[in-house]
Amino acid sequence: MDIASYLRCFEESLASYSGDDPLDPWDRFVDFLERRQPAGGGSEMSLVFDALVQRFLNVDQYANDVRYVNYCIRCASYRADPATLYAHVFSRGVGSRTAALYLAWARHFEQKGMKDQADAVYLKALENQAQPEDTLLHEYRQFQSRTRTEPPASGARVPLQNSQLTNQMSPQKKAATGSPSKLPLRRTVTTTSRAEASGLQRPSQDGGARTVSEYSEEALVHDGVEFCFEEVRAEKYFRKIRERQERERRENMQQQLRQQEQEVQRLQSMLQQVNQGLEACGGSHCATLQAPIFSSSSRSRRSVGLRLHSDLSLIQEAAGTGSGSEATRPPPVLSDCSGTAEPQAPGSSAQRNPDELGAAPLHCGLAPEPEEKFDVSQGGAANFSHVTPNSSLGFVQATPSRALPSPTVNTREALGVIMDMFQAPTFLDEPFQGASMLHRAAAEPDPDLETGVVPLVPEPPASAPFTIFQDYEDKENGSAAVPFERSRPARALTELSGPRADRPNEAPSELIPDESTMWGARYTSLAACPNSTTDFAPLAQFVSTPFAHKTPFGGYFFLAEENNGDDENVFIRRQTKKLSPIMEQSPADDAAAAGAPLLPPSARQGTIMADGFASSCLSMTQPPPPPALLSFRDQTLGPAEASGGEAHASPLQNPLRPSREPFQILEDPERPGSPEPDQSRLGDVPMSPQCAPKASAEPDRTGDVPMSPAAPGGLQLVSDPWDPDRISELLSRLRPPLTSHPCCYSWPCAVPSIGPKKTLSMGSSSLRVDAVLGQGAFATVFQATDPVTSDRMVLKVQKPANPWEFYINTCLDARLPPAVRHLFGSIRSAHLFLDGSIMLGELHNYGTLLNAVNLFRAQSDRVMPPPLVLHFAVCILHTVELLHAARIVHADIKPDNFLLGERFLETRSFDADGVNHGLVLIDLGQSIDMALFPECTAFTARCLTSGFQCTEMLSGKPWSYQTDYFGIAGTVYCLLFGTYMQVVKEGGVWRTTGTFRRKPHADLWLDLFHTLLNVPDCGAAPGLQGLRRRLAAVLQQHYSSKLATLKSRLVVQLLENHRARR
Amino acid sequence: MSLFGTASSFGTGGTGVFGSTTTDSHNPMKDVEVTSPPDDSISCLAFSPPTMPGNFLIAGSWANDVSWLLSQSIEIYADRNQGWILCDGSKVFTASCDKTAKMWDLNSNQAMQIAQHDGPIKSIHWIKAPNYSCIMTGSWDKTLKFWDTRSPNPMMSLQMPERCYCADVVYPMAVVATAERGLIVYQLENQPSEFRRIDSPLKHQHRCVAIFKDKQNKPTGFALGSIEGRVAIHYINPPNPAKDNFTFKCHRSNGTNTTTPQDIYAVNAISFHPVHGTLATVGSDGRFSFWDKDARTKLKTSEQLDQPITACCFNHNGNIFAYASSYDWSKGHEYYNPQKKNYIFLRNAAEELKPRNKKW
Repeated sequence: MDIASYLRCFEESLASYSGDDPLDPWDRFVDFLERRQPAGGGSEMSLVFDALVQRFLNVDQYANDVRYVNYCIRCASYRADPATLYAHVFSRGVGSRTAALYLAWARHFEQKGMKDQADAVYLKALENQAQPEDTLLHEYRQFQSRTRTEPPASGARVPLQNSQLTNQMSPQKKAATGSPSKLPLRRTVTTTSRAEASGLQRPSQDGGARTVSEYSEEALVHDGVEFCFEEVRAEKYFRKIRERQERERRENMQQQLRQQEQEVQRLQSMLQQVNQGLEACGGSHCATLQAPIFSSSSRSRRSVGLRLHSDLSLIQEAAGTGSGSEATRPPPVLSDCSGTAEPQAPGSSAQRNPDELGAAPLHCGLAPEPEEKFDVSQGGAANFSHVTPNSSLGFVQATPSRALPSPTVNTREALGVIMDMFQAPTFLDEPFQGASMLHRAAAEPDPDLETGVVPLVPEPPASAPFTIFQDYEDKENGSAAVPFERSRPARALTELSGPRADRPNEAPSELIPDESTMWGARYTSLAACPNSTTDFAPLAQFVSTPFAHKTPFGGYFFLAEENNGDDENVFIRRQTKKLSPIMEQSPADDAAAAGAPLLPPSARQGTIMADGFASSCLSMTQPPPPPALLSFRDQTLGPAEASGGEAHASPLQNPLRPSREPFQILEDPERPGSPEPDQSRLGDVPMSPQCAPKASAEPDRTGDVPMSPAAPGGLQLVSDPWDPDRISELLSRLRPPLTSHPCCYSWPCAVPSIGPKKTLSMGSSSLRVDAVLGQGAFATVFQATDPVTSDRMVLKVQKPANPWEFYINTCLDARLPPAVRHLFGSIRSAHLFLDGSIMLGELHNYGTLLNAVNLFRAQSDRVMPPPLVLHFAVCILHTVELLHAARIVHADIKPDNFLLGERFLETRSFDADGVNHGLVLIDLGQSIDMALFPECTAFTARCLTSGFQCTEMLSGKPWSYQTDYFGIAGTVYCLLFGTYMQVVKEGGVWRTTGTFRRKPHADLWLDLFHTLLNVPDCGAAPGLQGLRRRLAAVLQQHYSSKLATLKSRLVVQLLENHRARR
Repeated sequence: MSLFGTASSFGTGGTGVFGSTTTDSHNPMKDVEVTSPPDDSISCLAFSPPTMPGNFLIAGSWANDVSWLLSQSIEIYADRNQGWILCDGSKVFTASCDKTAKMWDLNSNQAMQIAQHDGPIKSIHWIKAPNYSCIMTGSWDKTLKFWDTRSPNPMMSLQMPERCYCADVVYPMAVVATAERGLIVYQLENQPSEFRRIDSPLKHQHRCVAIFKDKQNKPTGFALGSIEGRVAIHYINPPNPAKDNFTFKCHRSNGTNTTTPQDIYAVNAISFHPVHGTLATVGSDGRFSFWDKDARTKLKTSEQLDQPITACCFNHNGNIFAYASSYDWSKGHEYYNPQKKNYIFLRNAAEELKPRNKKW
């Protein structure tokens, strides 16, 4: 039986082997064979070894197994060219740490007389720390002593040899065919050395070969400076440019001279005419006409010359070059006048400054252009800046002062971001940085305003560290209702009327005088405000939503432009262009504004004021109707409401008042409920200055029931779902009472003072307040960190207390499936104090939808790309759908009440039914729990604090869920157009004033808005789901591929914006 | 006038197969020729970023001497990081001898100036850091500036000892090679700042530089080419500088024959293969070569074209190698032949740039 058949049998038997050491049977098999054939059969044994080596070549387990390596060596010993096999197995990682392989390999090289290769193998073995090391070292030393007599391998060659070794071991198929001795040499294509400049040069390599540079070395040296090829070429190019410029300049100059000559001739002829006229009319005008009076030709000529000269210098001054001095200027002119002028003979300043001369007219020609442009924007500004822009719309773009904030601040911010990442709990000083930054931004324009010089683009200091260009949007987290910062508009407004420091803590009512004087002073077309409280209303409204603090900057910006109309900075013009569109007003609004100067504050804010409504006010010649805080449920609305209510006594209401009672089903007389609402009411009194008029407001409010006689039969009409009394009453009826909720805590004390860097302890836990996220008339929102868990959250501090928001939160918890709960802002716990409340809520870091809209406005596109709008619209519809299913009416849906959370950054799914889109609806403080009302309840009050007033409110119809539909429409519109929605009623149908013609899928959008704005009655819901399906289908069909890219783009912007804000 | 047509023995070697007997050696490698290449010397090539479907190649050229704009370098932004302004198309950034850099919107076909230097701009790169994104321009006015495209003022300006000759950026590393053999490494994290000045490993003028990455896809060193046919591989923080850094000769005539003088040509461009990490060099000798820096071997050298190869690049997945043949002005004005046609070729690079032996 020969070995081949043994091998076959053995391999068959292997199939049944199930141990974990498959080499073991081979081991025994080889042993068996060797015992049978102690000598000879060598060539046949190679078969076995080949099979063995082949079989385990790729088995990592045996790569450094001594048995296997030995088999490899034995296998190689049967080969004609063992080195090939060594290299081959080695290339597969076999024996890389086994000394035996290296030793066999090196010995083979040594036997062949290839000392260098052998040396390289030893070095490689040492480098790989082959085991056993002592054997290896011993062998290497032996090898070195054997080879010492021969020319030693120099150390400098090591890298080279390494590479040879590498080469030698690379492709085995080719290598196997070559003879071992030639192999390394043949593969040495690259001769690598150490760094050319620093390493040793091997004379045999470099010194021997003469080299010729195949480039023109002389061309590369210019005046001792080296040139690169491009510079050689550029030099020629520049020479040509210079020559051309020279030529142009010469032509310009000649033209200039020709023009001068013509001018002189013209003036001379004029002078002659005048002289003739003078002569004709005798000396009667001598006294008045001075220059021409000297009728002697020489004098008159000189005067012409002087005039001409002065013209020129004027031109020069206009051009800002002003290089021609008075002294040098006249001669050429005079010489021209005297007729001796030759174009080529100037020899004076005229020639020296041909450029300036040429430039002058140019500049003059250019100058008006920017002015015109600015005029346009001024028009826009004037149109708009006495409008308190709708806070929820906000000022979209960074104003110059914000666009290029001081670099140091930015650097600090950038550093802050990094620090933040690593030291999450230690960013205590951030708030102050942020505050100071904002403060600076706000303060910057002041001096400018006063001096009338506004450096629109502050040149960054020479040492500018690194201005990371960022449009600072609000620093709002926009978490929960975040009403807004009242200090900001206050400051801005007062500054307009004069630099007067305004402290953030001033009660809003104190602002009123400033407000009105401001308005009066600046816009004389406005009538004096007769009633400061009414005036407060718009202000309060302005204040009631986040982002309004942009307004001041906007105001500054335009003021600045007026002052600075001739600023030619291109960049700023670009900015203006970006800014102005958002201020566009519909003609309807302007008309209204023209008619009723006092109306605009609300109308122009982008809140929706129907034409009809405006005109009805006009006809009454009533004081402005009242963007009053009519029914802001949190009880700070007193004054506004008082006045507003009266002002409201518009035609609609007065006649209807008598019919109020029958409908006032739920207006139960207030009865003492649980202590908690009492508390809030108690706290109410001392707290808000607006409360003073409250008592008087009371009757008015109840009278504020514009009943629609057309109310559908089964409808339960409730006037005002936000009525504080009703709210407290509803809360008091809760069983169990809200205060028994495990996350609701009542404290028999006042709200602790909260500010950045303060640590707040509530019971056992403590919170460190990091920063103010937003501040408004009703609430201040802080970012806080739990020092134990490093958990970050928002604190909404509100005075007086607002337990209602927490109640709605509990409703959501109870009624929504847990999987979709995250679509709505959640409140972890509520702390009710005697005079206020603190709510702990989730932090959503990436700004609001409005913020996103503004990010896009900052770019060339101006608006959010349609696919994203579609996506957001689908998300919004879905969210609201779920909310309504839980019988909650949000009642304040607007772009700034949608937050983008972390989820938005993470999710990749665009499923229409997906709930991971990351859009979070917040601020449920105004929400209405329909479950507390009987079926088919409808409301009649007009919500004037909200950015949106639904069409039903505008037309005096009862409403319920419609306000949310309207809110959706307004939000989607804002996404789509980047401006606020305006609605008009035409032929009994409400429609937006937007132009859809150029929008993709205009039909779809028109249909959406039509559906949302024209809900037939409270019973017939428009079916958000159907709308959503249609939008999703379009999205899927047209944009499924683009959406991900667009979103990631937005995400990048959000991240940048987020970082920049902090 | 044929500048480099002398070595026709190489150039005509492979033509017989195709039955072509022309002596024209403008395309000895039989690569795919790009139609209607620029009329003047092609200074740079760039492929579209992976975020764009398909492969678009853009070539920057010295516009004819009469025209104003001449692009020194082009960077298609928006790659490596999607985001920013990428919508349906893309933007191309061009830097030119007129001291400006422009952003060219491919959709609207409008160019907008985004940078201004006091001298011609030689390099332009797009940097996308987590906390900022900007354009980096290097100029012969000895400054390196960083621009937000929305602002007329640079976000930052760094002074350099000499004129910028070439640069490369792989976040968070940038390397700039300047005249007088200056070599500066910048780090870009947080904000750009000078990281280190390096003594040049080369003895002659720097001509091109390209950053390479390690296994973790982080920039770890750069390859620097000089006008005297040599490339240095330099690691920023090598474990063993003496061993890891090395130079090798390339773009020279008759490498081993010492009896005749060796012609040395400039290395015009270096480009690293995005997948394999191997590199391509192109030279004034009209050849391109592929190298494996880790194995220290040459993978391939092309036949000789009749004009220098001035630019090269790989597409984003490394399947296509594009190279441009045109006059590189290495011999000055006298040798400039405006009648000579320029070419851009595309070559399948998927196989030829694979390292021979992955193990090492």
